[in-house]
Formats: sequence, C-alpha cells, structure tokens
Amino acid sequence: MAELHRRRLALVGGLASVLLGVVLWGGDVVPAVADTFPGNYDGRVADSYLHTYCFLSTFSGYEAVGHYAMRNALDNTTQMTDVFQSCTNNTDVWFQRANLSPGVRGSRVCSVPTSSTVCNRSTITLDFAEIDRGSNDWHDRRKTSVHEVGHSVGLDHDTVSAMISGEVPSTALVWRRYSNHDIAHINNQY
Amino acid sequence: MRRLTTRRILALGLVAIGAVVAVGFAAIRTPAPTGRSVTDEPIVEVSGDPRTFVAVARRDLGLDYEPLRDAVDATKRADVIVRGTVVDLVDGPVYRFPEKPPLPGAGASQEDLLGNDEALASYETADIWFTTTVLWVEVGEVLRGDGIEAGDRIPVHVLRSPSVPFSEVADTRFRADGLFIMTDKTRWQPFDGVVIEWPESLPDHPLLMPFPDGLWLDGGDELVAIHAEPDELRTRWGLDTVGLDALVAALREATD
Repeated sequence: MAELHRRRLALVGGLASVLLGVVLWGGDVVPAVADTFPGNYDGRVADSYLHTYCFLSTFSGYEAVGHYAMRNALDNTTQMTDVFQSCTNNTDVWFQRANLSPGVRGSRVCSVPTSSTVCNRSTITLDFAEIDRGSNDWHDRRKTSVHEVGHSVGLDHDTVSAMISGEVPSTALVWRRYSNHDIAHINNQY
Repeated sequence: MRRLTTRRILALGLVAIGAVVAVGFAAIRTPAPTGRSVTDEPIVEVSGDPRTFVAVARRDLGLDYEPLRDAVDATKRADVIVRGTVVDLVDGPVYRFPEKPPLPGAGASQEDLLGNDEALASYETADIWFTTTVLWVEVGEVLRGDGIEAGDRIPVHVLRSPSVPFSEVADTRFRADGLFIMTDKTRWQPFDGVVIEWPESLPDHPLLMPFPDGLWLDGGDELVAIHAEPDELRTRWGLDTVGLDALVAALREATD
C-alpha cells in the first residue's frame, strides 16, 4: 500500500513539474486553442490549402455572395488560397441555392469524403429567403456564406465571428470574418 | 534565434525531469484486476442511446440557423409542436442533383482511387444533395398541430449528410421521449430540378421537419439535440432548468 502511495506521489509530482515548466516557459509553446479542431462534428478537414469552388446553376444571380466568402474572408485573411473553376467532383466547394428545412439559413455537408480525416468536396447551400428575414440582408448573406465556408475547412460555431448562428448582430465587419483564434486554426492546419 | 533566459532554462529542466518521472512510473503502474490496464479497454458503442444517434446524425453537417428566440417565437414559427416518444427510425427520402457531376472528376481517375474503398463509395453518392432520416414519433401531447392527436405516429424528417450511410444511423436505434417543434414541408421542392427518391414504405404526407433547435431528446441526465445545446435554451428562453417538462410548460404558457 505504501509503495503504491509513493508511486502516486511521484507520478503527481512529475506531472506537476511538467505543468510548472510549461507555465514558466510562457505558454508560447502551447497554441492558445481551447476548442477542438476540426470542430465541424465530423473530424474531417479540407484536402489542402487550395480551396477550389464553383457555382451550380441554382446559384445564378448570387455569385457575389460566394466570391465574397472565398476571396474576402478565406483567401484574404488566411493562408488558404481560393480558385474559382467549373464544377467537377474534385471541386472543393459547390455553392447551391435551395429552400432548406425550417429556420436554416445555410448548410454545409461533406459530399465526397476521401478518408476518415479528409473531405474532398463540400456542398454549401444557402436559403436566401430565410437569410433575408429581418434587416441587413447584404451583410447577412455574406455572413452565412462565410459561415458555411468556415465549416468546410473545419470550423465550429462561436459567438464572436461569422461562425455565430443566425442574423448578424450588427453590420460590423467582425460578423463577416473569422476570429483570430479560428484563423490560427486554419493556418496551423493548411 | 530566441535567447534562452534563466527562467526558460529552468522551465526546460523541470519539463524534462517531470516527463521522465511521469513516464517512468506510468510504465510500471499497477495493472487492473483483469490483467489489462484501464486504458486498453475497448471503446464500446452503446446502442439505444439518443446521444449516439445525435453524434451520427450531425456528422458532416454544419448549419447556420436562426434560433428560436423563446417559447412565443417557437409557437409563432412552428406548424406542429408535439411531445412524444421516438419508437423507430428509417431511411428517408433522398434528394439528388438533376445531373451527375463529372465522374470521377478532373485530376482523379478510378485508378487513382483503387485501394481506397471509402473514396470509391463516396463517388457513388456524389450526386446526392441531401439524404434524410425519418424518426417515427408516437405522440403523447399535441401543443400545436391540426389533425394530429395523442396516440398518432408521425414521421419526423431530419436532414443527413450524403456521406453518412443509413446503416450507421440504423445501428443507433433508440427509444426516447422528446419534444419536436416543426413545420410542415409536405410536397417540399428544395430547388428546381431536384430528383426525389421517396421510399415506398413512407407516407408522402405530412413531411414534418424540425427546427435545428426544435428537436430535443431525453438523454437521461440532460436533453440532447442534433444541432443545438441545452445551454442555448437556458439563456435564450430564460429557463432555470432545461428539461422536457420545463420546455413543454413554457410552450403551453405561450400558446394560452
């Protein structure tokens, strides 16, 4: 019994030393990430830093909303690169417009998983009738587009960025961008 | 190159010593009575638990949704609100794009995918927009909904990612009480040209779909949902406790 007690004390002491050392170091060897990544419920990330995208015919007239998410939010603020192309099965993101289930403004599914950790193709669907409820439609459309692209690269919901659920709280740019925390996740991954 | 300060040298030393001590004693820890260490125990999937169902149902599926602000908002936006028991789940309608995408796609070939069974399987479902799972719910109480009575069995359609085969969902079959805040989407045509494969065994109406934060299942110690967390309701709806009884009471009060 005494032997077991000594072992436990030593184990606890050793782990405490590790913790103390990490704290003394200043914390910059440990990424400031408290949440899981990918946090999109599936454990899958996009296949590379190159995020290609296309618009299905149903998305006609709404192209600016898709370009905004891929260029202004993803490409311009992270190390990922967007490329617009015609839709093929290897295009990373298909944009689609549809009438979704009640209350749903946008959705993202992994349509072509190539392994248990990688999604080769996501389909993003936006329901503009649902998004346009309330005010600030221009901002809301872009926010939801940015939000779903965020899911396609592995982001989870939060309450401080475009990954918030629902209408934009204001027209501030912060609601159409990813948080610095999430940008760090993206840049670490890709 | 960052200079190592005395403090950091001390920190590195502590980490190294601590790691050696911890790893050493972990290696000689007393084995569990079974002769296997606790960490070697296989992870057993518990069937019949709504939490297992939820974990599968939301895989590969991310939504942006407008939350139900409170019970009054829920009663305004919903066509049907019932409390009931999930008694079965079945594969639901499949919604396909009108045309198949170029297969296997630019830059890849069947040869590229040989040996990767999951990738090949995924290409077979690449023209699916959404699949669905249908929960059969035995109604206990109707809070809102014309033509629905206690004792009825109603189909509740839930969106599912094409990448999640129904066989995985079927393995999670469970029986649990729940609350369902829904709209009637009968004859739903989500987009022009959609190709709908409707299972013969499934009635074509009603097509009831829950709000993302309108499907709550009794998970034992707490409620579970596919796309929402109980804490969201606690804050938004102003509830002290989030349980089926509390939600139903709030909805009853809102409908009065």
